Amino acid sequence: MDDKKMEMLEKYFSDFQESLAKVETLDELNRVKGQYLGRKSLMGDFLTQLRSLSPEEKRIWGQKLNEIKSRMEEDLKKKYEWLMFEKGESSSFIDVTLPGRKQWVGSFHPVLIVRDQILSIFQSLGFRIESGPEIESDFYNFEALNIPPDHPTRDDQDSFYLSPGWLLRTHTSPGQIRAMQKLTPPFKVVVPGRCYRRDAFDATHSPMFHQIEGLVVAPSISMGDLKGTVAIFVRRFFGLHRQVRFRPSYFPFTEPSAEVDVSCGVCQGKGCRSCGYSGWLEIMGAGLVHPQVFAKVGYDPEQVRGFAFGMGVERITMLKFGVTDIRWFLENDVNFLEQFKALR
Amino acid sequence: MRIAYSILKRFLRGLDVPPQELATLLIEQGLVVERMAHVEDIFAFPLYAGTLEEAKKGFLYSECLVKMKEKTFPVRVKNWGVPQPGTRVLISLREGTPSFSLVAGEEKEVLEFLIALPDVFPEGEDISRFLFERDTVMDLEITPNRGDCLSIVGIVRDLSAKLDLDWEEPGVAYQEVEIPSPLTLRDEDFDLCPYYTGKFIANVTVKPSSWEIVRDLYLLGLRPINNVVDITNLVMMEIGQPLHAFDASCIKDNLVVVRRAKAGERIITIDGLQRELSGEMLVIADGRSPIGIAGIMGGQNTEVSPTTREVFLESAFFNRVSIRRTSRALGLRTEASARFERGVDPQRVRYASERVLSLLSQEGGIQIAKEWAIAGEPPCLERTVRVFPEKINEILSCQVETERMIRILERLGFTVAARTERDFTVKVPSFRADVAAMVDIAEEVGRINGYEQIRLSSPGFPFDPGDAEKNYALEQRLRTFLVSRGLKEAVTLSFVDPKTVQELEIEAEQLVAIKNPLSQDQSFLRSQILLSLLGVLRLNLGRGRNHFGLFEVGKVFYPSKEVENPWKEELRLGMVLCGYLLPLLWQKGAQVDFFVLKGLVEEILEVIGVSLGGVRFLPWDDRIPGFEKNVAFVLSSSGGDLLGWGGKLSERTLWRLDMRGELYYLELRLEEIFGLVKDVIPAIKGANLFPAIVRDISVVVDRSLSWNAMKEKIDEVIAKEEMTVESVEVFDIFEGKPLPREKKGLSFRCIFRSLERTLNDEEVDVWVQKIKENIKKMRGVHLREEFVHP
Ligand SMILES: [Zn+2]
Repeated sequence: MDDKKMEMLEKYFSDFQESLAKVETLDELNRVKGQYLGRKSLMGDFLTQLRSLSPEEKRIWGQKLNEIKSRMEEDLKKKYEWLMFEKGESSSFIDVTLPGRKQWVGSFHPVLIVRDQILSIFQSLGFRIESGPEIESDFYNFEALNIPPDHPTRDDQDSFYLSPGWLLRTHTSPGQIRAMQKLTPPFKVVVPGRCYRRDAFDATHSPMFHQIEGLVVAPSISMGDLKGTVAIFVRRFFGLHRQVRFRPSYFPFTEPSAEVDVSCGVCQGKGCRSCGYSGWLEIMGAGLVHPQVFAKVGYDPEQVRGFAFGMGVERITMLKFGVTDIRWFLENDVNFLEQFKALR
Repeated sequence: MRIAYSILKRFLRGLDVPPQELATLLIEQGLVVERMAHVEDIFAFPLYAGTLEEAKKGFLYSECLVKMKEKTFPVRVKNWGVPQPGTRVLISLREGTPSFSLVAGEEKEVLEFLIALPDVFPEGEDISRFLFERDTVMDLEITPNRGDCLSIVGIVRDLSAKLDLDWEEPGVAYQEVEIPSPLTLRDEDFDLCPYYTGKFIANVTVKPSSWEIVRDLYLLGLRPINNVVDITNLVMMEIGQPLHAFDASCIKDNLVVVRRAKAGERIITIDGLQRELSGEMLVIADGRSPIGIAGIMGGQNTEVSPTTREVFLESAFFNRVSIRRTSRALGLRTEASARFERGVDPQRVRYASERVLSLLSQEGGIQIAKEWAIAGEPPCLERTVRVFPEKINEILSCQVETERMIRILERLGFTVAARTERDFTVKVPSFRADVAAMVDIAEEVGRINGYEQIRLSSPGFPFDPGDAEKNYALEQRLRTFLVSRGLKEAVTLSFVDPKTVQELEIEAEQLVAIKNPLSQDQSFLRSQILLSLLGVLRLNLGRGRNHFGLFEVGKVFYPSKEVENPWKEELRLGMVLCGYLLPLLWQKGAQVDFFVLKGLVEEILEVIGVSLGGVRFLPWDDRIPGFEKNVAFVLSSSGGDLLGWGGKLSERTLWRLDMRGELYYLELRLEEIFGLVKDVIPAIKGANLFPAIVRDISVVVDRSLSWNAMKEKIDEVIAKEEMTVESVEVFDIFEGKPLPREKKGLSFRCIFRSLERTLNDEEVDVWVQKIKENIKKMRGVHLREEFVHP
């Protein structure tokens, strides 16, 4: 054997290593193995040629060939293991497309999702959360809010009575009275809760619904403070591109009073079916606390002012999620509720 | 309140904003436009002039022929409503079908009258545009405080302030004659009727109104009746004061009495219905019986009809609360009652009559008695308010010049009585009973100046909102946990059906009844969340939804004996589980059962911070109906307070409520449970690194022996011998062969670990032996290795 042959052998080995480096799959590995170590490979030729050599040459060359062969085998094995491990082709097979052993996925109720979102916005603005009973006395629900008996406002708030003087609250506004009795100004509170009115069920009315009441009392509160606070809320809740409109309205317990509209998200204020072609959606009633209300709780209207607002959570939930029938909220079909699983 | 653009423009000559913009302006000043419509969409367009060719008079009605170019159309008209043959009359033709009314779809078998037109209208020409131009009609929603805006003049006044335009109140012009009024007026109730005026009119001819009046009434949303009634209605719309015309010849004993109804008195109102009256209701009566319900509706017995020749015209100021109560009690709301309820202008009661007289005079021929029948006087609502412009601007976050404020207020009818450098005093007009203080003036200035002018600011003061109330925070944690465990949150009606209550064997006295429910099946407040969730269950099972968990956190209600508040509310958690927890492929052994439910209860308690050592699960007792007897528990505090209950809903109850299935239910009294949560942070130690020694013990016991009894015994030994035990947990329970029927096998694992040192096998062996010896002494307990099979 000569140097030329040695050169060939070395070239053969480096070719092998080059091919092996390119291997990505088991099939390719087998092909490389056959090509370089199989019976019809060059290695086969070398081994055949070995027979015709002298014993001395046979020993040297045999040793050399064996050494290269075992190095090749070792490389193949390493590559095999790498393929198995790195490429994840482990010996035990599982069908990853089968469904996982998944337990139920829960969901919050859409109305309470929105209630909690609204509350957390106001919490971040420094409001305190207060609560009140669902069964109220006439005093808290009406009288203290400047709604004496026979006031026309009582027509719109037809109530469920339990006994003379006791009713299911028709709004969360009694929360204003309770907050003022409990706290000392200045303060900011929000009061969420269930309310009840004698409205028969239809797509937009329900005898039970949720409201959130807000009240801020301090010496120099103004309409600007109300508008500024509401504007922040609307931007945070509905998004930056939505406009806010304040327009005069009437509530017995606020003066001046305002109705707050937000520009329609469907048509961006141009007017469409969902906003009744007005471009605006009514979202809350608001105003400065009426001096009569302060007087009822023993505050001096000369010393403090306040603003209050109240919004219907179901209505806002319908706007937010595009729900068209308020009755779905109370039906609790799990198929309907399931859609809210990714929301908080 | 319906209004037409053309009518507003008649008053506000300078009005030049188009209807669409006007609607926006109205909304911006607090008069909400609910609906806008073009006249084309309301009226029977196109409209033509026809000619009445002939009228064959019958007993009640005439057979008329109306000609339009080559065609003639027949129509039946009541005799009083037929004009002279040859008169132009209104006709509308749609696809060849004639109509003789202004509005579409008002056709009747017999027409009340034909609408006569002046001869200037050529026969057969489309005169729609001439009659209506391009008018727009708007429905305004008037807030309860603005009774004055239930009139054209009120809306015009408001707009005049916004647009800074001049306008004039409608004028008065009529002649009176020296004829005696035969009627005597007596007001017996000045409380309910402080001021009443009446005027006697003779020589009246009742006929159809002119086309202009008919058109205006339709534009304002009213229907024409006859000239007398139409004019009173038109004046009511114009200035907001309702009026009523009686047929004077039908008033018995020549007496008009304003009084309360006598018990049992009745009246047939002009809508043809008989009304039962009560002693609280104010009526207008003649010498014998009521002839009208004051301020609401007149009686049929004195109704103005085509034969009426003499009229008694009423204009009065009634007590608004009385009108409201009567109207509600009778279920009778009218244009008049709506205005009296909100309060009319006491200073314009007589002026309203004078407007009617002026318009009636224009028709000629009538004789108006000089003498007024008057009782009482207009109540004086005169008020003054001192206004500090600086303060107004502060409240409104605006910068309105004092001059502009005054101009706005004057346009709205206020008059400046006095003025200094810093303030001015205004006299509140008699039609604005809602304005009493400076904040009211602020609103007036604010809404006319425009709320869009309010500058945004933030309330700036130090206030620490504090943490949310403890119970609120715990409720949030509980809800979040249940959702994370795969349950869906429900919100249900607090009202329940007495039938469900009955099926659950709950006594109705324990419930709160609603005095005026919407329907019988919503007539009670729930005393358990279960009552509400059963309905949700039925709905879902009925729709084939069989695998789910639902919960609701809400209030239940029951009567209390407290004097101060006879009702009690309590916060509860209701929770229901049914079906499989895992998808079909994996559901082996994954069906919801008692222990899934109990496990959730334990997790709830641990998550909110109630130690399981402080509560007890007791077997079901008779207190809680609706559950399967041996598959239910009562949860109580170690002090014995009831915390909740749960288990498998009884099949009998479910069957009665039309349901079936394995349903597990839990109800927790959250306030009681939250009360057990201590505000103490547990003392936190580092992780224990000493190794544990694990020993399993197996016993054979009587089937009736509870694990709890065994556990108590083990704990007792552990304490006595001062063993360092980390936990003792059951890991296997087996029944059946080879054990006899009355026995069960129980295996539990004890993990021993010290906090201070490494334990050795020998000492643990001694402890295990101690435990074994002690439990062996319990009745019916054998160690597994010592149990001899019989
Ligand atoms: Zn829209």
